[in-house]
Amino acid sequence: MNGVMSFFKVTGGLVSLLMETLYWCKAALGNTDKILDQLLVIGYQTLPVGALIALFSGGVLALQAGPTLARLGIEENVGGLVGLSLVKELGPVMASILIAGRVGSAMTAELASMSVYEEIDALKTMDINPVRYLVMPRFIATVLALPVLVIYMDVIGWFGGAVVSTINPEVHLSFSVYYRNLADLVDFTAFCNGLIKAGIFGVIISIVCCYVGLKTKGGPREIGTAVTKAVVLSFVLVLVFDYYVTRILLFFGLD
Amino acid sequence: MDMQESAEKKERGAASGNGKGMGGVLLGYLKSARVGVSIRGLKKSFGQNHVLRGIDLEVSPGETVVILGKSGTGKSVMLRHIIGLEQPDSGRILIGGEDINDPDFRKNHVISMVFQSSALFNSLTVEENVALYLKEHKVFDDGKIHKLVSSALEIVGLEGKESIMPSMLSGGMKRRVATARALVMNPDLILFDEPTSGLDPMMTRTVGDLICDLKHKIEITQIVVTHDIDLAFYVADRIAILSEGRIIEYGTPEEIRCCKDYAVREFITPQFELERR
Repeated sequence: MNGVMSFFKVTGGLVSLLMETLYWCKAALGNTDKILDQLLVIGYQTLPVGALIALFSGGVLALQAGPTLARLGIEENVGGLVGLSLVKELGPVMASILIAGRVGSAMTAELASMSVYEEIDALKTMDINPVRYLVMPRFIATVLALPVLVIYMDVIGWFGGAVVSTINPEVHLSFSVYYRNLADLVDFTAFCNGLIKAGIFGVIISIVCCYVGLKTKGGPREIGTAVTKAVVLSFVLVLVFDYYVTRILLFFGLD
Repeated sequence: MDMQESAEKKERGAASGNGKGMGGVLLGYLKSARVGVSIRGLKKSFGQNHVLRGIDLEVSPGETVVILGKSGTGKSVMLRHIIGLEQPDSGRILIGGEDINDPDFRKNHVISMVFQSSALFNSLTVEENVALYLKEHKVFDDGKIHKLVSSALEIVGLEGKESIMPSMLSGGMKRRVATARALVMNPDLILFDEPTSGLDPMMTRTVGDLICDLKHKIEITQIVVTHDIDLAFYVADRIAILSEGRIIEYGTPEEIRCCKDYAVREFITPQFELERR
């Protein structure tokens, strides 16, 4: 019974925080400096790691699929396979997991620390709304940054696939054949599909991580627990919503 | 020894605004609205834990009242109710005659609080911490805000520390930055939550001097929660003794000293003296 109550309490809290954050988005123009700060933090924390992950993910896709396709005599399709896999699924999910792990965990730790050390209370006593001051800039920055990170990782992942397809003697595909096939199969709809997912995952990660951080009570030990909880919950919700968003996009013929 | 005394005097003098300039810009800005506080029948429980069991307290405008009590008697909870961070189970809190839950209360009154942990924002410099309220509410332009912040830091004896990060400050300095932050809000009422906990005797005296200065120079209403008996008798106009969620005695420091109630005597008399008797 406690588990059920806790589920509804957390769900209600997340939806309520999302609504309040959307309301405070009206103050975004007056807080561009805070949003830019958050965008810089996200970029600084994710771009180098994102490039590495994307490069090797694209490479391993080509490494796994290339020889099989070559045996079937359709190795020129490696470009399309790597491209579509990254654009539709791997790109948004990998970028989300990266953002949740590096940026979301830092968000939760920062807000949890502020809760524990009475900084959130101090904001309230100064009549500064914590959702406007702390959550809204992080929310907008994450929702803007995640699609950009997906595009960045897609492009690097494609390159990783191209390199492996070229140097792998079982496939031995030229860059031009690889990229021509990729351009034929990856259309604008597929690209938008990935970006829509990225935007939704950005909403999930920022709201979950800020909610868990703001609700933290106790001492330093609880800050660590909150970070773990926020990251795990973000991962689970990203993967669950990935399925439902894909179903919805398929229903509307956008997949 | 002489040098040490001189350094102590200098430190205390700076903190109490006796230095050059005396934070005149800020003192001219503070309006000293002198509001009274009236707490009536305040009750609060957390589950089965009845923390406040019916608090009644009257604080006159411009008065400094110290809430004295052992740890865990509900002093901080009471303070959190006064500033609106907690909602009571029953009872009312009136500040300047207005209920703190009235929708227009925040438009008419500003209350600031110096937290036990100082609650400074670690990602902001000292200046940004002190200026936060003024900047977020766009009270003045940046030039005037800078002057006010410098003036507030001068009053608390931290002039020239504007660009330092809170992590580089000692506990006492943090407490003084938090006080400067509370002052620039131009409050009607300042609340201090355990302002001297964890501080050495010299720094305790510095904080005590600061509270006395605010009382004499600005005549601002102050409520100080502490279990530091020396500080209480040093700064208070009146002292309220809180025990098990109730105020068991309320009066001037002299009245409290002369009180015959055993619970009060037990609390205000040093332990070694009790044992000697």
